[in-house]
Amino acid sequence: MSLNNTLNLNLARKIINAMISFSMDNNMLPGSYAVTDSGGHVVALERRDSALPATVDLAIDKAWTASVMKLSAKVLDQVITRGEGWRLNVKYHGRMTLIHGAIPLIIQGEVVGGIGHSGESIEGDEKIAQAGFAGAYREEEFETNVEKGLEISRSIAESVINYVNSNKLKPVAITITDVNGWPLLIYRMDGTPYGFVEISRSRAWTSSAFKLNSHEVTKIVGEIIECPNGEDSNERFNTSQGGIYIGNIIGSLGVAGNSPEEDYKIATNSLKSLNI
Amino acid sequence: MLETINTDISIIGAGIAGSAIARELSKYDLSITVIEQKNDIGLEGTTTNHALVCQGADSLTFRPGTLHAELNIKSIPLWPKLAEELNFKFRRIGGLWLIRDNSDFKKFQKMYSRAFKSSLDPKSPLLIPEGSFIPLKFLNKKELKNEEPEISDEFFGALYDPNLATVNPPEVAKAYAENAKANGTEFLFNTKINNIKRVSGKFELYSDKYIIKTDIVINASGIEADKIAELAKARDFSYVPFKGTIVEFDDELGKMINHETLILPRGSPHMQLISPTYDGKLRAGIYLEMTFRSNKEIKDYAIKHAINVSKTLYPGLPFENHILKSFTGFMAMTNPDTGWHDFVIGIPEFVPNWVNVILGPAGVSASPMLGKKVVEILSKSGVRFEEKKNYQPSIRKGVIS
Repeated sequence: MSLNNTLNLNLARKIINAMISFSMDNNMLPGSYAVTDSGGHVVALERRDSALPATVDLAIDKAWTASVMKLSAKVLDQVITRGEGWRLNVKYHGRMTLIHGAIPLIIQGEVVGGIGHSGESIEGDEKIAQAGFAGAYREEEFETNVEKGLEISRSIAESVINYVNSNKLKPVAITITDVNGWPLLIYRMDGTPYGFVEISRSRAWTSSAFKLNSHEVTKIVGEIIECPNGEDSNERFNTSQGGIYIGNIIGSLGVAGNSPEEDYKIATNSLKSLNI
Repeated sequence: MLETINTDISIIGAGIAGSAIARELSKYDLSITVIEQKNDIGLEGTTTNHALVCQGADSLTFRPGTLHAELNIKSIPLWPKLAEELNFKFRRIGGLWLIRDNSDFKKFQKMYSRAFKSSLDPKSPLLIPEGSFIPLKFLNKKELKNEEPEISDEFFGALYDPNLATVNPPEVAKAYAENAKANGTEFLFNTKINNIKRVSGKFELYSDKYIIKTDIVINASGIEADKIAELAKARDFSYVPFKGTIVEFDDELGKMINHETLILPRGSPHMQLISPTYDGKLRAGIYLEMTFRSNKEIKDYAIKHAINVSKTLYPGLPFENHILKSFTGFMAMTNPDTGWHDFVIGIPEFVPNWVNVILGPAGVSASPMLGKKVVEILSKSGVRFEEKKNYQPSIRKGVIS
């Protein structure tokens, strides 16, 4: 058996599991684990319960950097820019992240995506990202005993995926945030246009931020409001249907990929089947 | 009912690494048990490689500061003595790094000077003692033709390393192992470790037949080292299996080529070399790919690569008609994203008395130093080694009972 050179959600989850398993075995600090496709768009992200909220976007940006530069941060930093890496950031508003722990995923000689970890020291981040790469080349699955929040998030995401597949709906992006609006999990089902990732995330944020389903927020704040998105600080306002407030251990679920009405239905029915 | 075995040190894996380490440790007053899942010494990565021993240009140009460079360079002066002590064939063939154009020449000049800086400068920490190393030199086209009459006219010259050698790695591994055995080391074959527990400071290694209770574990299990380490939560490294495909040509053709000959690959990850072996045959390749370790299939394109490389270097020789066999093997490559491979020999932060040994390419070449490095690392961690008075460096005893 050999490895197929397409990056899909299953492979991204396997890579993340390999990273979590490695960091747990080595008593490393909990963090965020991200896998992006060759264009730098999120395929999967998981954050362990006690990991710092800010690690979410650092991990994503590291994976993004490795994807779009097709190089490891280590090489960009030490060989290509030789300490002048900050200059690259004039262009990308600080997104280019030349901190170790950002490596491209190479399959059959091609860069098919990026792996990013944030939450440990520089050496720790690098080791964990390497463990993710190596995990792609292991045939067996890694079993991880994750904390409650991430565990529930995973089962909600599974439930959404099953619901979408069994009802033959269009694939969706799923974001699950904590009560503070910070993602614990982002999955993009295979075939989902990447634009839906940010939509699912902003629906989940909006639900967490107002403790309401995303489309019900206009009832309390009015139809026309001044609330520009501030993605740089995780503030992202979206009042279309598809964000459900849960508010128990985890904050909200955001689903996007079909019409807003269908996305809302997917989210509510998936939660119902789990009795949440 | 499982049989219990008590031992001071267990070495998991009887390949080149496990055997070399066993021999070094057998110089000390310890009980040592080597555990191997197959029925003989060195049947995996030790067998499936190009059988070269880095002695000059190659090992001196490994990235300075790495363990990879340190152990290979320090091993250079040890090889001839080792071959004499253990009575195995050590054949110096020399290496030719071919020059196609100015770009190759510039690269080799840089490597050449790096070699001098890293190991031939009297102030270098990795200084090679005088007499263990013949300096490299550049050959022009005529000199190159003198060394290799059949070489293609395409090449302007070569960087010549007269030191490069070839051995039969499984024979070397067996020699290490048999010497270790004669000095008291025990070997368990057909013994696969399925589970590892830590009970009051000791490790318990479980196989289908035995429980091996041991104070110290050396994990030298080659391409399976990650899985073995995970059993003890001792994997603090990562690597990706690199599959290499090599084609072997017969000794009739072997007579026509005297040196390892290689060109630097351009825009391709695959090695481009052909080399005589210890027994007068030729090995060529090497097509490299990252893949699952179970994927041992030999692909047509990988065989073609070896033949194409051979024909590029020696266009007049009928390689197609002299193929003996082709085979694949696996190397554990660390930092596969950058190609900055390095060995791992170390004790994980949270698992004392456990040493991981990950080699990958140039593992055979570094084998004389492995045991010494393991002793150094364990000594630093507080293990006390007392030399045996009656250690004998040359005696041998069969390992398979």
